[in-house]
Amino acid sequence: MNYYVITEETFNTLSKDNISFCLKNIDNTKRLILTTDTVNENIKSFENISICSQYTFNNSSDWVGDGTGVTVEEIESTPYIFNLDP
Amino acid sequence: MGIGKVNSVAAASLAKVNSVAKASIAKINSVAAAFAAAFTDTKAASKSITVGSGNAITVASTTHFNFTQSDAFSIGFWIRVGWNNSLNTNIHFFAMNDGSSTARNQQIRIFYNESNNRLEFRIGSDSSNRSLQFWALHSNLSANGLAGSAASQYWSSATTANRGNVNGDNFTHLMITKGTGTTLAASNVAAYWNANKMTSPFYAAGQNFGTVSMDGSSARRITLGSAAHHYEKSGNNNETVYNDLTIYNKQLSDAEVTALYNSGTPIDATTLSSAGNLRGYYTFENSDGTDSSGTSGPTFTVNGDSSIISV
Repeated sequence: MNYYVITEETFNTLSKDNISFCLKNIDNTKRLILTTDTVNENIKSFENISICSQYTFNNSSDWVGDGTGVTVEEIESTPYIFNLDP
Repeated sequence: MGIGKVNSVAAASLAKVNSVAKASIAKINSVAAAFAAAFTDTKAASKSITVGSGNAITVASTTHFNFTQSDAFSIGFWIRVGWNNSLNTNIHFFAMNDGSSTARNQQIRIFYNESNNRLEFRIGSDSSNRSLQFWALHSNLSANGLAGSAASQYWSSATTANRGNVNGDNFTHLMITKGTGTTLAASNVAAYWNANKMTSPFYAAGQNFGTVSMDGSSARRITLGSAAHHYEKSGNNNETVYNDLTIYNKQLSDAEVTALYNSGTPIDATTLSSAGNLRGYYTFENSDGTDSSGTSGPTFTVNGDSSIISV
């Protein structure tokens, strides 16, 4: 599994079937994703899910509105479903 | 104290006087009557957005609600939303676990995932054995009255439209019910928004990991308005307010949920036909969360920045 922060433009080019988690940032300009694809045009990549989660806690104001972050459990248990994506 | 005698008729012979509304009694004029206290519902529990155990609404340790995967149960409450569309994470409404820092140990959780507009329901015994279900609120608009599927139309307090269907005090009644099936399959669960059933749970069979085997004897921690494992995920913006938490040891029927909703006016749950299955009833009319179910349930302590407020 690969963990990335990408732009909305890059997201639109990806195969949605391979994405298992997706979170838009608060101003809807970036997405944090888990995908089986390799995405070279990324803003940031992470070695594993824990580092990915920690990034959201360290950058809470960009990603989460309650001052916390996205937990590993939330990443693991909130599957991305393309046809439910607004 | 009720009426003891009416014109020399013994109390034992009086079947109905004590439960007749005062306004309906026209002819008992010279009796010093002591009527049962009317149901009052003027207070509620406001969960602070500051988190941690010191600000939690919680039962630290109890076996009173030790439902397992094969038990039927129903959990409902009135909720006045305080978060906005920038929450972008979960807010936990009701949660229990084994008292550890692990969310999935002996979990029963009801929460809202704002980033995806999903009402989530989960049970499980540990990280490897759990069953998940959710209702995408934008797939159930006719039941909840929300505006639509765009992120700005998700459930929140941002605008009147973002609240969906509410009563005159901006409260929504939510009820989650589960049957005796051991997973959260669509056929085994139901979610109601103001007594309207949201007919589209996402997973037909539930999303299942391993085989859930919950411990019915060890004590659990219960939280209202935050997650049980770390006392976080309580929302943002303004405090979210909870009232009349009802916990039943059966799966309520549609009609029973409708009776409890009572057209938007909170009603004394102990007077309804489902009262015999009440396992916990928390109206927050006192200085803390004492149980009114008649089953000697545990008290929710309301800590720190959380408070009982007038509504």
